[in-house]
Amino acid sequence: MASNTATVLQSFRKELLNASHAFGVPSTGSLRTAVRDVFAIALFRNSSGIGPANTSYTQVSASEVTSSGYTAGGNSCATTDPATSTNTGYWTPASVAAWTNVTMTGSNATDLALLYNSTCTAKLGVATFALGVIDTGQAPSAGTFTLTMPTNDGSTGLIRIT
Amino acid sequence: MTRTVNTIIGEIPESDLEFATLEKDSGDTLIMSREWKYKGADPALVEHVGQMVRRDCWVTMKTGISLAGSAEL
Repeated sequence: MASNTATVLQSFRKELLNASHAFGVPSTGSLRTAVRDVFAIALFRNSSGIGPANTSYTQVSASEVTSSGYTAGGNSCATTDPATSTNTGYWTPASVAAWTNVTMTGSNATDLALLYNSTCTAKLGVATFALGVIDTGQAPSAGTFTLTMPTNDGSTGLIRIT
Repeated sequence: MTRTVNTIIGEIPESDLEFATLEKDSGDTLIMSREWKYKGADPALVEHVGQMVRRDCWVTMKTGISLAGSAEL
């Protein structure tokens, strides 16, 4: 099986231009209704071959981890608004709830998190993030899996447009 | 009141467990795990003494990703 890849999905660049995502509340007078989308983070098994050419959560959901304490689709991100710092736009979720009492061991270990738009029907993907070392990943056992976001600024924010 | 911890062998008093915390810097992420081992004296669980019975994982993203491009149009 092919390794997973941490990357911005190629399709995300196009979908940004199509206004398919609203990380914050769209500006008054824009085509979209003034409601932000909900984004979620789902976890995927090692060596699922997920990478830049994938387009959505739905497309890769067969490779998602399974465990008691983990619901398919992952956990929603807490709301935050995009911001700018000079020439960089950035967005980082305030937090993602931890998964408790989960077991993701052996072939169910996870080395990749997918950020995707859970509001839109197509569950369009944004980017994938390595959970430590690719192909090794994380293997909680009857324990808690906690994912902590980076500092929300123009240098380290989760998604940055420079 | 004795605090218990969920493990693969059931709810175990925390006093019957010991843990070690491991930390690894993987560049863009900081990884921590805590492995709990059984050290109790319950005869029904004696086979598990010294075994890892729970693992917690923390992944801290130190930096996200950039859609880099030129700032000058």
